[in-house]
This record gives sequence, structure tokens and C-alpha cells, in this order.
Amino acid sequence: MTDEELVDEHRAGRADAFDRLVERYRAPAYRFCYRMLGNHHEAEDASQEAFVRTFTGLARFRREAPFRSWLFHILANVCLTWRRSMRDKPGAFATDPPAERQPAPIELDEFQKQLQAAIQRLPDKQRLTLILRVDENCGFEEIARILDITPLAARVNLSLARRNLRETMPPHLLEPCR
Amino acid sequence: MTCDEARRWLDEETTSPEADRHRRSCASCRLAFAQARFIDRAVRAFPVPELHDDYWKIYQRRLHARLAARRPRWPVSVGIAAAVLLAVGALFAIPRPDSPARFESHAVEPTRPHWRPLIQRVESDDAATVLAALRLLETLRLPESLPTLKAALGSQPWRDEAILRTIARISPPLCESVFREALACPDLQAAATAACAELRPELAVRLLLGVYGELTVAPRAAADDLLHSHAAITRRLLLPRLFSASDAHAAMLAPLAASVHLREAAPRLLRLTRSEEHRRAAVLALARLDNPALLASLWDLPAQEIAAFVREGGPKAVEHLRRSALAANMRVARAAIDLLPEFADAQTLRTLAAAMGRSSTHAAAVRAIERVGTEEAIALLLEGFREAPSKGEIVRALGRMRSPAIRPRLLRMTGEPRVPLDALAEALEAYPREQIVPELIPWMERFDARGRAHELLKRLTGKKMGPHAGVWKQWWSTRIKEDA
Repeated sequence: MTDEELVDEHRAGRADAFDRLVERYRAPAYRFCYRMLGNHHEAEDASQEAFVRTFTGLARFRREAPFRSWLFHILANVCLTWRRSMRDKPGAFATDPPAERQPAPIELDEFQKQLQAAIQRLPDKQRLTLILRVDENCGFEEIARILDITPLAARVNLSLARRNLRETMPPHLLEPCR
Repeated sequence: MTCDEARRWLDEETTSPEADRHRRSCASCRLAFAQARFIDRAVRAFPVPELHDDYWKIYQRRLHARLAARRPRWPVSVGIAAAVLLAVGALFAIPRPDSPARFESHAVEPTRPHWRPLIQRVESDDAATVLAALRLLETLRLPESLPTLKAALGSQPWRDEAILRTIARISPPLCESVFREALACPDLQAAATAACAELRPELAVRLLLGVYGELTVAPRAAADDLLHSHAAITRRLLLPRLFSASDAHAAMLAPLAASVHLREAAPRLLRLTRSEEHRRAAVLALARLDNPALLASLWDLPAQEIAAFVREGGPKAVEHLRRSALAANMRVARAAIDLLPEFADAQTLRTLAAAMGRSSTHAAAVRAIERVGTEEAIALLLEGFREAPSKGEIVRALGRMRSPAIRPRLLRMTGEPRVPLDALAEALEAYPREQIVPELIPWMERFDARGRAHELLKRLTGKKMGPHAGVWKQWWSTRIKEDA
């Protein structure tokens, strides 16, 4: 069953239709938020907030774009709002989560630490474009729809993101590609 | 393949054989590709926490809890609108809206269409009822009602500006088709054009440009006002339309292009000048683009069209015309000189004087000054006479001007051997013989001018009475008596 058919089912009152959409997209949504926010707890909160907004906004979903694009549009907005509120209120999301929600800690090597820092330093639109293109395999048209920009702007953002990463990463870490 | 072309493949998943070949031979492109792919791979491989099924169960449970706790957030305006709705409920007999659906234990109740009675009123034949219903819908902001409202409006003639304005405020996607149809209907054009002011500027401009050619005079004036007020958007949307339009349509859009200063339209307008039918509209539009340099592209057109360009283009265009009068290209210079008398002022006369000093444009400039015909023009000819490369043209021009003030000066030329006799005779013939002959006879008594005076008298009177002044005087007094 396609996403749009599930949306129709949900509108028709089928109780589990929205659950099935969540099951389908929870992992990509979480992954996207994690890439954007760099923290498990914030990724979980942000992805859930996006699903809540999706649920409340489903009545307005008009099929002008695929459901996936619409969901990622909401995810992108939520993540940007999240980041802004983090900047305004540092430590606002620093409460300790319950033990059952703790995933296994990730060991990052030096390259990955530098890459994470470099990605976090990218301007919002560039980081979003890079993640959508590289991680979610979105085409430029889809990225344009999600970010409400033109496909050309999406291309430019990707190019700038790569250049910024290249320039901010220590050169010796980019040696393997020489 | 160049580096730029090869790097266009950088953002693509695939590549082309040409780009591959280029990469093999270009070290910098090879590095750029390698770095891009390396970064992509690194980003893709960046670790994300591994989450197990148990976690997702907790995730889902927590999400349900959030959904259940979340009350749909109604904006304050909807609260106010609901109060208004209650107040007028009796009038419209609208059932009170149910509480918004809440997410409880996965049960989702479909929203009841409490707005249905309003939509029925939109389908009414009474304009006041339609307007009242639309205004309520505008206040309530019910996005879920829009598809039904759109269908209801499909059967409506939309009647007046107030209704169209309200539709515009309800929803841009909804109003596009309604406005398009209203603008296409001659009876509604005026109302629809005025109501376009409520639309988003981009949409309003797009709609108005779409029907611009079909608008009658008054709606077109209103459309022009709106399009001018959004000149930047108009320029952006008009340009491709202008280039893809037929000549007739482009000619109709030309004044608009000029009035919003769409300078990029110049190539299309110049192409339009090749069509005799649309030439005038294109020339006038080109002139209003405030780019007098365009004059250089118009010299193949008939003189009256070039003059129209200069007239419309104002002082800048006149200044450009003056500069053209002194251009190295003789064809251009002569054409410009021919047009200058229409724009005669002190500056123009100075330009003509300079052109008169050039042998290649001397004759054209003298004719132009003659056409100006003012006292300043006469003074200019007389002033330029001394230095003129060919004095004959000036003398003939002075003769044709027939000014009493010039006559004594022409007669004095009898004693100036550098003035061609033919030209002087031609100039003097322009005056009555009764004035010229008695003034010319005394010149016969001057040793240095006798020959030329005699020749002039022979030509003017057709008589051959020898080189003696006395004989000519006697003949003239006899003739006067006979005439008396």
C-alpha cells in the first residue's frame, strides 16, 4: 500500500493507518534528525515532534508532493527550530533520559569526529541538502520541494557543502582521496 | 570537454564517458571527483546509533502518548470566528462545529463537515448570501473545506469584485482557477482585475499577463497599474512571455515592457521593428526603455520611425541623435542631420554648425539649418560662410530662405569672387527683380565687380546691354516709366 493510500485510510478513520506510516518512516526520520542534531535524545524528540505535526496536519496534505517529501519538509523545519532553540537555550535538552532509551554508545575515530564537527558547522541549508542527497538519496527536485528552494539552489547548496567540508577538514584526513 | 563541463557530473550519481576521459587527463578534476566521492562515502558511512525492536516499541508508545496529549491548536482568530459563527448561527442555521478530533487510543474519527451548509450558501443565486458565506469561510479558515468550496465555485458566476476579493483571501490555490475564468469573461474582467490586488503579487502578475491581450481598455489600465506596482515580478514573468509570443502579441505587450523598464526586451522589440505592421509600437517601446544607444540599431528604418523614437525618447535620445550627426559613418550622420531640424535648439544648431564644417556632411547640414529657418539659423549660415568648404550650398540656402535681411548680404557677394556665380544668381532670383536689379546696377561701376555684376544682370533680366553701367541705368529707368 502506498503512503498516499495510507493517508486516505487515515482520513477515512482507519485507526492503524497512521501507525503504519510511522513504522515505515520512523527509522529514516530518526536517522535524519540524528544527522542534523548529532544527539540521540534530541533526534528522538525531534522525530516524534515531526510525527505529531504530521498527524495534526494530515488534513491539509494535498498530494501536491509525495508524502515522503512532505514528511521530510516537516522534519527539516522541526530540526531547524530545534537547533535554534538549542542556540537560544543551551542545555534545554540536557536532561538524563530513562535508562531503557539509552542506545549503545558510538565510538568515533578522529576522522569521524572531525567530520561530525565540520557537518555541524555547515549552514543549515547546506547541511540539510547534503544529508538529503547523500544519506536519503533524494534527487534535486525532491530536495527543492522539501526545502522550498529551486533545484538549482539545491545543487549550489550541495556544492558549497562539499567545498566547506573539504576546506574545514584537516588536510591530512583527506589524504586517502589523493 | 572542459573542466566546467566535466564537473557538472560531480553532483550526479552516474557519469559520462566523456567526463571519465576528461578526468583521466585532468589532475584537478580527478582530485575534485575523488574528494566529492570520499566525502559522500564518509557522510553515508557515518555511524548512527543502532536501535533495536524494543526501542522502537518504546518510541511508538511514547509517540502515542504525545499524540493523545496534544490538543489540536486552534488559532485565536478561529476562536473569534467561532464566536462570530455562533452569533450569526441563527441566521445561517449552521450547526455548531464538533470538538476537533482527538487522537485517543488510535481511534481517529473523520471530521464532520460542519461547513457544508456554508458551501450550500456559496452555491446560492443571491450575491449577498454568497458573499456572507464566503466571508465566514474566510474567517473560519477551514482548509479541509477547500476542495468542496472549489467545486461549488465552479458553478458560480462570481458576480462581483467583493466576492472575488473574498475568494482571493480564502486560498491562493483555490482562487487561481476562479480568477483565470473570471478574467477570461468580458463582463467580469473589470471586477477580476481590480480584485487581483488581493492575490499574492506573483500569482496576480502571472494571471494578468496570461490574459493581458484579451483585456479591454479599462481593465487593461487597472492591470497596468497593478503590474507597475509589482514591476520586478512583472519584468521577470514578462520577459520569457515576450520572447515566446507571436509578433502581434509581442507588439501588444511592448508598451508594458517599456513601462516597467524591461531593458532585456530590446532584442525582441528590435526584431519586431522588421514588421511593418508592428514597427511603430516596437519603436515607441524601444524609446521608452530609456536607452538612446538603441538608436544605432534603427538607422535602416524609415525616417519618420526614427524621429518617433527620438521624440518619445526625450532629451537623452535627442542628445544621441546629435552625436550621431557627427558620427564617422556618413550614412548615419546624414540621416541624423536630416532629422535634427525637428529638434532644433541652440545645442542642435551648434551640432549642425559642426556638421556644416565637415565636407562629407556639409550639404546635408546646410539643408538642415535652412529647414530650421530661424534668425539664429541664418546667422549660423552667414557665420559658417567664411570657413565653408563649398560656399555654393550656403548661398543657395540663403536665397531660398528669402529673408529681407539676407538680401544686402547676397548683393555684397557680387564682389566676392570665391562665391560661385551660378549659386549667387540662383539665390538672387528668389527675390523680386524690381528690388534686385536697381541694387545690382551700381556694382557695374566697381572695377573689381563689374564682370560678375554684368553676368548677374544678364541672367536676371535676360538682356545683353554690354558692360557699361550707364546703359543699364537708362534701360532700367525707361522700363520703370513704361511699367508706370
